[in-house]
Amino acid sequence: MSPEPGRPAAARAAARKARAAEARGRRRERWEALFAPWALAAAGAAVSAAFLFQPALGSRILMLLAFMAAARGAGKRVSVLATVLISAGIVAANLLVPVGRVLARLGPLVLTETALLEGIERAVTFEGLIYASKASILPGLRLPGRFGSIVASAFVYYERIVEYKGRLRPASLVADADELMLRVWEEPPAGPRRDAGARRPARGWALLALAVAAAWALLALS
Amino acid sequence: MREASERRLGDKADVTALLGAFCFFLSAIEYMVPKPLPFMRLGIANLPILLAADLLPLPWFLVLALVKVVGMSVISGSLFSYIALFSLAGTLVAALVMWAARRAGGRLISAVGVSVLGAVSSNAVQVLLARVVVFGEAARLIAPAFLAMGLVTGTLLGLFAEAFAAKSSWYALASSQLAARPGEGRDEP
Amino acid sequence: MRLRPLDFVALLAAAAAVAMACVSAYSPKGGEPFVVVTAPGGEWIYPLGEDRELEIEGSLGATRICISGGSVRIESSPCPNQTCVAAGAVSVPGQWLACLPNEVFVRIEGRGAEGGVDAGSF
Repeated sequence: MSPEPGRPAAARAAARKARAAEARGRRRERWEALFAPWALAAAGAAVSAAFLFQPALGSRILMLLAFMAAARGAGKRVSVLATVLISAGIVAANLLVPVGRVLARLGPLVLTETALLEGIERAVTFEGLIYASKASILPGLRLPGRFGSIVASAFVYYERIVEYKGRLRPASLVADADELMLRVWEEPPAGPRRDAGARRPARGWALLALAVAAAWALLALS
Repeated sequence: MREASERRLGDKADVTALLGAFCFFLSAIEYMVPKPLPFMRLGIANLPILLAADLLPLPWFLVLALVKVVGMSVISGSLFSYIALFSLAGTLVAALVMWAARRAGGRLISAVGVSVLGAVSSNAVQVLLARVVVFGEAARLIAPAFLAMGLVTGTLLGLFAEAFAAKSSWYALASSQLAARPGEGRDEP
Repeated sequence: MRLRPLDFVALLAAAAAVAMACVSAYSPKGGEPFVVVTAPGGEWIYPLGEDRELEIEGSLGATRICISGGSVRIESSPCPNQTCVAAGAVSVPGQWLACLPNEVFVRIEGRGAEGGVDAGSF
């Protein structure tokens, strides 16, 4: 035991955190260089649909794990602890109403088979869609049409708000928010940045095709 | 004639985009507040929609609601998940209820009443959806906390919106520009 | 600022919704009765309010049980005397159906039965 355990440990933890964030950033950059946003989103939609149709619980759990790995590869935050806690909450809620064969009794609580399986399936589906979505939706995604262009200008305004240097103090929130609105609105939003045209490596396209094919093959097998 | 009406539309598209951006910003702030359930919302991101009830006509008002849902889902990467479904249902119901309350209530209702009705009905719909999608029957156990939260945050948001609408020069500018004749307003690029 | 008349109406309506949700959430549990089936293979529980068809394996074969419209009945049974099928439907907590040869026992549980008033005593 070191005489002053608190500070070095805290410093080490902070350094570890910074390293993790940096690694995540690198993974995100690699992911974004590999896939065109629209193609990734389309593949994500196709895989998510196969996931929703998938009747076998085992396959769904397998897909959830794959989605978590993909979200990690995309540089998104993946917390196993939060996933487990939220899933446990969903399963517990589903167990409150007993349905099916009685597996165990704990005083007034009854553990039933159908309710348990249904709870697990709902939890897996809920978490699976979140991770599939995290992996396949890039902030650079531009939607088509007039609606898409409005969303794109909203993103431009959003970046200005985030980069706004003025202050927002609780005491004068109304006046400060008003100032922020006026500053951000001063200039019309420039046309959306175009980096969607950049070419992506064939490896990226092949990976997307492979993911979609695997998800639907798993569905065909069940 | 047609060109003139399109110009006016452009104007509203611009206000819609700006208010949508504020929805994203507020939802990013909301994201930092820890919550026991991933789809539990304080609803502060509905503030721009509350302000828009007086600014935008119904079609643009609904476009704003959709911009909020889609944009937030793209930023947080939840577009294909149930989270986006909760957001869509909650936002659309809040928007429609607030719009109806605003128009039906006229001078007899302030932003506080409008906001409370919107927040509580939005949370009620999300509880119903949670019952179907994740929790089953047990959803009724979380209903009191959800609805009470809507009551509190709805009131606070309403008070803020009243203060903002009364003092904000941006708000005055936007409402005068939107009410202005076509051609005098600002064009969308 | 001053609140306007309909603000109070809105606040009251919202408070009423919260109160109703509390009543629904915290009213004593057991309001909805359950169908409890016991057979040699174990015990099964289903809400009486949800329609479904069950096949429960007894000592002779499968007994088909049908829960629909808030009542439960035995639809078919591999037993020789078929009295369980003839018994018809039951819907009140405390009531039961039994197929003795197949050892399948169906009873309705809920608040009514726990309250000490046995449906059989009427």
